[in-house]
Amino acid sequence: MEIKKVNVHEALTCGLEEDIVEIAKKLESEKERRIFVIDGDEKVKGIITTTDLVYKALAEKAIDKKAKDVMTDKVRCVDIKEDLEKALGIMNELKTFNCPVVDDGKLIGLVAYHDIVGHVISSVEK
Amino acid sequence: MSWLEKAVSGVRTSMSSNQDKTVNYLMKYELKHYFSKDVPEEEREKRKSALEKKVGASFGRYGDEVGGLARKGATRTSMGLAIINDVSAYVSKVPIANVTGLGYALFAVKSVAEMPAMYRYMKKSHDWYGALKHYVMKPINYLIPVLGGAIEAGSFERMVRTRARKEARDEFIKEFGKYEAFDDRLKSKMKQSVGDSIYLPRKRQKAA
Repeated sequence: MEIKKVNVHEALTCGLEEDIVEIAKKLESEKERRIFVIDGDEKVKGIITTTDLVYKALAEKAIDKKAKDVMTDKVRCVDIKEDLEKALGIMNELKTFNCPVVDDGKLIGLVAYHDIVGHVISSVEK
Repeated sequence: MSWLEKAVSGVRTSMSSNQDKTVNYLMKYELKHYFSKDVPEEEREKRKSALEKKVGASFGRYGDEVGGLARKGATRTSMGLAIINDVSAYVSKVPIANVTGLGYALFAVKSVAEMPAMYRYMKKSHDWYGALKHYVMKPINYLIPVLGGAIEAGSFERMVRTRARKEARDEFIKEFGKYEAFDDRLKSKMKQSVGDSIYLPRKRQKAA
Protein backbone atom coordinates (compact mmCIF):
# COMPACT_ATOMS: atom_id res chain seq x y z
CA MET A 1 0.00 0.00 0.00
CA GLU A 2 1.34 3.39 -0.98
CA ILE A 3 1.78 5.79 1.89
CA LYS A 4 0.52 9.20 0.95
CA LYS A 5 2.15 12.15 2.57
CA VAL A 6 0.20 14.86 4.31
CA ASN A 7 -1.01 17.62 2.01
CA VAL A 8 -0.21 21.11 3.11
CA HIS A 9 -3.10 23.40 2.31
CA GLU A 10 -2.40 26.92 1.26
CA ALA A 11 -3.05 29.47 3.99
CA LEU A 12 -4.71 32.78 3.30
CA THR A 13 -2.34 35.60 4.26
CA CYS A 14 -2.23 39.35 4.57
CA GLY A 15 0.28 42.01 5.57
CA LEU A 16 0.48 43.83 8.89
CA GLU A 17 -0.60 47.12 7.34
CA GLU A 18 -3.44 45.72 5.27
CA ASP A 19 -6.81 47.35 5.61
CA ILE A 20 -9.42 45.24 7.38
CA VAL A 21 -12.01 45.92 4.67
CA GLU A 22 -9.65 44.33 2.15
CA ILE A 23 -9.13 41.45 4.57
CA ALA A 24 -12.89 40.96 4.88
CA LYS A 25 -13.17 40.88 1.08
CA LYS A 26 -10.40 38.27 0.88
CA LEU A 27 -12.14 36.11 3.47
CA GLU A 28 -15.43 36.44 1.64
CA SER A 29 -14.00 35.59 -1.78
CA GLU A 30 -12.03 32.58 -0.47
CA LYS A 31 -14.87 31.48 1.81
CA GLU A 32 -12.46 31.38 4.73
CA ARG A 33 -12.95 32.28 8.37
CA ARG A 34 -9.36 33.09 9.23
CA ILE A 35 -6.36 34.79 7.68
CA PHE A 36 -2.75 34.73 8.79
CA VAL A 37 -0.88 38.00 9.19
CA ILE A 38 2.71 37.80 7.97
CA ASP A 39 5.58 40.27 7.77
CA GLY A 40 7.91 40.97 4.85
CA ASP A 41 9.89 37.78 5.61
CA GLU A 42 6.70 35.68 5.52
CA LYS A 43 6.98 35.12 9.26
CA VAL A 44 3.72 34.65 11.11
CA LYS A 45 2.83 37.66 13.19
CA GLY A 46 -0.77 36.96 13.99
CA ILE A 47 -4.13 35.61 12.93
CA ILE A 48 -7.42 37.34 12.21
CA THR A 49 -10.70 35.47 12.40
CA THR A 50 -14.15 36.66 11.43
CA THR A 51 -14.83 36.94 15.17
CA ASP A 52 -11.90 39.35 15.53
CA LEU A 53 -13.36 41.51 12.76
CA VAL A 54 -16.75 41.59 14.44
CA TYR A 55 -15.54 42.21 18.00
CA LYS A 56 -12.57 44.49 17.35
CA ALA A 57 -13.79 46.48 14.36
CA LEU A 58 -17.51 46.27 13.68
CA ALA A 59 -18.55 46.43 17.32
CA GLU A 60 -16.44 49.55 17.74
CA LYS A 61 -17.59 50.97 14.38
CA ALA A 62 -13.94 51.26 13.38
CA ILE A 63 -13.56 49.76 9.93
CA ASP A 64 -10.52 51.88 9.15
CA LYS A 65 -8.27 49.70 11.29
CA LYS A 66 -5.25 47.77 10.01
CA ALA A 67 -4.53 44.08 10.31
CA LYS A 68 -2.03 44.61 13.11
CA ASP A 69 -4.76 46.38 15.17
CA VAL A 70 -7.24 43.52 15.18
CA MET A 71 -5.05 40.44 14.94
CA THR A 72 -4.45 37.95 17.68
CA ASP A 73 -0.70 37.84 17.97
CA LYS A 74 -0.23 34.54 19.76
CA VAL A 75 -0.46 31.93 17.02
CA ARG A 76 0.18 28.29 17.86
CA CYS A 77 2.18 26.78 15.01
CA VAL A 78 4.12 23.58 14.48
CA ASP A 79 7.61 23.77 13.02
CA ILE A 80 8.54 21.27 10.30
CA LYS A 81 11.26 19.92 12.60
CA GLU A 82 8.70 19.06 15.27
CA ASP A 83 6.77 15.81 15.27
CA LEU A 84 3.25 14.96 14.16
CA GLU A 85 2.21 14.37 17.75
CA LYS A 86 2.92 18.03 18.48
CA ALA A 87 0.70 19.14 15.58
CA LEU A 88 -2.17 16.92 16.77
CA GLY A 89 -1.60 18.14 20.32
CA ILE A 90 -2.02 21.76 19.25
CA MET A 91 -5.24 20.94 17.38
CA ASN A 92 -6.60 18.97 20.33
CA GLU A 93 -5.78 21.78 22.68
CA LEU A 94 -7.38 24.49 20.53
CA LYS A 95 -10.25 22.23 19.37
CA THR A 96 -9.46 22.97 15.73
CA PHE A 97 -8.95 20.77 12.70
CA ASN A 98 -6.10 22.71 11.10
CA CYS A 99 -2.66 23.67 12.30
CA PRO A 100 -0.30 26.18 10.71
CA VAL A 101 3.09 24.79 9.71
CA VAL A 102 6.15 27.01 9.80
CA ASP A 103 9.72 26.60 8.72
CA ASP A 104 11.88 28.64 11.06
CA GLY A 105 8.96 31.02 11.61
CA LYS A 106 8.00 31.30 7.93
CA LEU A 107 4.48 30.18 7.16
CA ILE A 108 4.31 27.17 4.83
CA GLY A 109 0.61 26.33 5.03
CA LEU A 110 -1.90 24.35 7.02
CA VAL A 111 -2.09 20.67 7.85
CA ALA A 112 -5.45 19.09 8.53
CA TYR A 113 -6.20 16.77 11.45
CA HIS A 114 -7.73 14.07 9.25
CA ASP A 115 -4.77 14.16 6.83
CA ILE A 116 -2.31 13.48 9.67
CA VAL A 117 -4.44 10.70 11.14
CA GLY A 118 -4.87 9.16 7.66
CA HIS A 119 -1.12 9.32 7.03
CA VAL A 120 -0.21 7.76 10.37
CA ILE A 121 -2.76 4.95 10.03
CA SER A 122 -1.68 4.11 6.48
CA SER A 123 1.98 4.10 7.59
CA VAL A 124 1.22 1.77 10.49
CA GLU A 125 -0.87 -0.61 8.41
CA LYS A 126 1.75 -0.90 5.67
CA MET B 1 5.48 -8.61 37.70
CA SER B 2 5.45 -10.20 34.27
CA TRP B 3 9.19 -9.63 33.78
CA LEU B 4 9.89 -11.71 36.89
CA GLU B 5 7.54 -14.45 35.71
CA LYS B 6 9.27 -14.37 32.33
CA ALA B 7 12.74 -14.57 33.95
CA VAL B 8 11.74 -17.44 36.23
CA SER B 9 10.05 -19.26 33.38
CA GLY B 10 13.15 -18.75 31.19
CA VAL B 11 15.43 -20.28 33.82
CA ARG B 12 13.04 -23.16 34.48
CA THR B 13 12.79 -23.87 30.75
CA SER B 14 16.57 -23.87 30.38
CA MET B 15 16.74 -26.50 33.14
CA SER B 16 14.47 -28.87 31.28
CA SER B 17 15.35 -30.97 28.25
CA ASN B 18 11.65 -31.09 27.31
CA GLN B 19 11.29 -29.32 23.98
CA ASP B 20 7.57 -28.72 24.47
CA LYS B 21 8.38 -26.55 27.47
CA THR B 22 10.71 -24.48 25.31
CA VAL B 23 8.03 -24.12 22.64
CA ASN B 24 5.47 -23.09 25.26
CA TYR B 25 7.86 -20.60 26.84
CA LEU B 26 8.61 -18.97 23.47
CA MET B 27 4.91 -18.83 22.60
CA LYS B 28 3.99 -17.35 25.95
CA TYR B 29 6.77 -14.80 26.31
CA GLU B 30 9.36 -14.13 23.63
CA LEU B 31 7.12 -14.67 20.61
CA LYS B 32 3.77 -13.90 22.22
CA HIS B 33 2.74 -11.34 19.57
CA TYR B 34 2.96 -14.02 16.87
CA PHE B 35 0.47 -16.13 18.82
CA SER B 36 -1.89 -13.47 20.09
CA LYS B 37 -5.66 -13.79 19.83
CA ASP B 38 -5.62 -11.38 16.87
CA VAL B 39 -3.90 -14.06 14.80
CA PRO B 40 -6.35 -16.49 13.14
CA GLU B 41 -6.42 -19.96 14.66
CA GLU B 42 -5.23 -21.58 11.44
CA GLU B 43 -2.24 -19.24 11.20
CA ARG B 44 -1.42 -19.83 14.87
CA GLU B 45 -1.34 -23.58 14.28
CA LYS B 46 0.91 -23.09 11.28
CA ARG B 47 3.26 -20.95 13.33
CA LYS B 48 3.27 -23.37 16.22
CA SER B 49 4.15 -26.23 13.94
CA ALA B 50 6.99 -24.18 12.39
CA LEU B 51 8.25 -23.24 15.85
CA GLU B 52 8.22 -26.88 16.99
CA LYS B 53 10.30 -27.84 13.96
CA LYS B 54 12.77 -25.05 14.60
CA VAL B 55 13.13 -25.90 18.28
CA GLY B 56 13.59 -29.56 17.34
CA ALA B 57 16.26 -28.70 14.77
CA SER B 58 18.03 -26.37 17.14
CA PHE B 59 18.07 -28.85 20.02
CA GLY B 60 19.15 -31.58 17.60
CA ARG B 61 22.10 -29.44 16.55
CA TYR B 62 23.36 -29.33 20.13
CA GLY B 63 22.28 -32.86 21.02
CA ASP B 64 25.80 -34.10 21.70
CA GLU B 65 26.56 -31.17 23.97
CA VAL B 66 23.35 -31.36 25.99
CA GLY B 67 23.50 -35.16 26.15
CA GLY B 68 26.96 -36.69 26.57
CA LEU B 69 26.43 -39.33 29.27
CA ALA B 70 30.12 -39.60 30.25
CA ARG B 71 30.44 -35.86 30.78
CA LYS B 72 27.08 -35.67 32.49
CA GLY B 73 28.03 -38.52 34.82
CA ALA B 74 31.36 -36.95 35.71
CA THR B 75 29.98 -33.46 36.23
CA ARG B 76 26.90 -34.52 38.19
CA THR B 77 28.92 -36.86 40.40
CA SER B 78 31.53 -34.23 41.15
CA MET B 79 28.92 -31.64 41.99
CA GLY B 80 26.97 -34.14 44.07
CA LEU B 81 30.13 -34.84 46.04
CA ALA B 82 30.78 -31.10 46.38
CA ILE B 83 27.33 -30.61 47.88
CA ILE B 84 27.78 -33.50 50.29
CA ASN B 85 31.18 -32.07 51.20
CA ASP B 86 29.63 -28.69 52.01
CA VAL B 87 26.81 -30.21 54.02
CA SER B 88 29.17 -32.38 56.01
CA ALA B 89 31.32 -29.33 56.75
CA TYR B 90 28.33 -27.65 58.35
CA VAL B 91 27.29 -30.73 60.25
CA SER B 92 30.78 -31.38 61.61
CA LYS B 93 31.26 -27.64 62.38
CA VAL B 94 34.53 -27.28 60.46
CA PRO B 95 35.18 -24.18 58.32
CA ILE B 96 33.32 -23.97 55.03
CA ALA B 97 34.39 -27.03 53.15
CA ASN B 98 34.18 -25.70 49.64
CA VAL B 99 37.41 -23.83 50.22
CA THR B 100 39.13 -27.08 51.01
CA GLY B 101 41.19 -29.04 48.55
CA LEU B 102 38.35 -31.48 47.90
CA GLY B 103 35.93 -28.71 46.96
CA TYR B 104 38.42 -27.25 44.47
CA ALA B 105 39.26 -30.64 43.10
CA LEU B 106 35.65 -31.53 42.41
CA PHE B 107 34.96 -28.24 40.65
CA ALA B 108 38.16 -28.74 38.66
CA VAL B 109 37.07 -32.27 37.65
CA LYS B 110 33.79 -30.87 36.38
CA SER B 111 35.51 -28.09 34.44
CA VAL B 112 37.92 -30.54 32.79
CA ALA B 113 35.14 -33.02 32.01
CA GLU B 114 33.10 -30.43 30.14
CA MET B 115 35.99 -29.03 28.12
CA PRO B 116 35.58 -31.20 24.99
CA ALA B 117 31.86 -30.44 24.92
CA MET B 118 32.60 -26.73 25.42
CA TYR B 119 35.06 -26.81 22.53
CA ARG B 120 32.49 -28.42 20.22
CA TYR B 121 29.81 -26.03 21.43
CA MET B 122 31.93 -22.96 20.77
CA LYS B 123 32.82 -24.21 17.30
CA LYS B 124 29.14 -24.54 16.47
CA SER B 125 27.66 -21.54 18.21
CA HIS B 126 30.39 -18.91 18.71
CA ASP B 127 28.46 -18.05 21.84
CA TRP B 128 31.20 -16.05 23.53
CA TYR B 129 28.79 -14.28 25.82
CA GLY B 130 27.31 -17.53 27.12
CA ALA B 131 30.76 -19.08 27.63
CA LEU B 132 32.07 -15.99 29.39
CA LYS B 133 29.07 -15.95 31.70
CA HIS B 134 29.51 -19.65 32.39
CA TYR B 135 33.18 -19.23 33.36
CA VAL B 136 32.69 -16.00 35.30
CA MET B 137 30.03 -17.73 37.41
CA LYS B 138 32.32 -20.67 38.24
CA PRO B 139 34.46 -18.98 40.92
CA ILE B 140 31.31 -17.43 42.40
CA ASN B 141 29.69 -20.85 42.56
CA TYR B 142 32.85 -22.20 44.26
CA LEU B 143 32.27 -19.82 47.11
CA ILE B 144 28.56 -20.46 47.66
CA PRO B 145 28.16 -23.35 50.05
CA VAL B 146 25.78 -26.19 49.05
CA LEU B 147 23.78 -24.09 46.55
CA GLY B 148 26.90 -23.26 44.53
CA GLY B 149 27.39 -26.91 43.66
CA ALA B 150 23.74 -27.28 42.74
CA ILE B 151 23.82 -24.20 40.51
CA GLU B 152 27.05 -25.30 38.86
CA ALA B 153 25.76 -28.85 38.25
CA GLY B 154 23.56 -28.01 35.22
CA SER B 155 25.19 -24.73 34.27
CA PHE B 156 26.66 -26.00 30.99
CA GLU B 157 23.41 -27.60 29.84
CA ARG B 158 21.47 -24.46 30.71
CA MET B 159 23.85 -22.38 28.61
CA VAL B 160 23.48 -24.73 25.64
CA ARG B 161 19.69 -24.95 25.92
CA THR B 162 19.39 -21.16 26.23
CA ARG B 163 21.46 -20.83 23.06
CA ALA B 164 19.38 -23.45 21.24
CA ARG B 165 16.21 -21.62 22.29
CA LYS B 166 17.59 -18.30 21.08
CA GLU B 167 18.58 -19.78 17.72
CA ALA B 168 15.13 -21.33 17.29
CA ARG B 169 13.51 -18.01 18.15
CA ASP B 170 15.75 -16.09 15.71
CA GLU B 171 15.05 -18.60 12.93
CA PHE B 172 11.33 -18.25 13.59
CA ILE B 173 11.50 -14.46 13.42
CA LYS B 174 13.52 -14.73 10.21
CA GLU B 175 10.74 -16.77 8.63
CA PHE B 176 7.73 -14.86 9.92
CA GLY B 177 9.21 -11.36 9.95
CA LYS B 178 9.99 -8.98 12.73
CA TYR B 179 6.90 -8.16 14.70
CA GLU B 180 6.26 -4.74 16.10
CA ALA B 181 3.13 -4.18 18.14
CA PHE B 182 0.52 -1.83 16.62
CA ASP B 183 0.86 0.62 19.53
CA ASP B 184 4.64 0.78 19.13
CA ARG B 185 4.35 1.37 15.38
CA LEU B 186 1.80 4.09 16.04
CA LYS B 187 4.02 5.78 18.60
CA SER B 188 7.03 5.73 16.32
CA LYS B 189 5.02 7.20 13.42
CA MET B 190 3.70 9.95 15.65
CA LYS B 191 7.30 10.85 16.43
CA GLN B 192 8.00 11.38 12.73
CA SER B 193 8.83 15.00 11.97
CA VAL B 194 6.24 17.13 10.20
CA GLY B 195 8.82 17.99 7.54
CA ASP B 196 9.25 14.31 6.63
CA SER B 197 5.50 13.75 6.44
CA ILE B 198 4.29 16.58 4.23
CA TYR B 199 4.33 17.54 0.60
CA LEU B 200 5.97 20.93 0.58
CA PRO B 201 4.12 23.51 -1.50
CA ARG B 202 5.63 23.95 -4.95
CA LYS B 203 7.50 27.17 -4.28
CA ARG B 204 9.14 25.60 -1.20
CA GLN B 205 10.15 22.51 -3.13
CA LYS B 206 12.03 24.69 -5.59
CA ALA B 207 13.81 26.53 -2.83
CA ALA B 208 14.81 23.29 -1.03
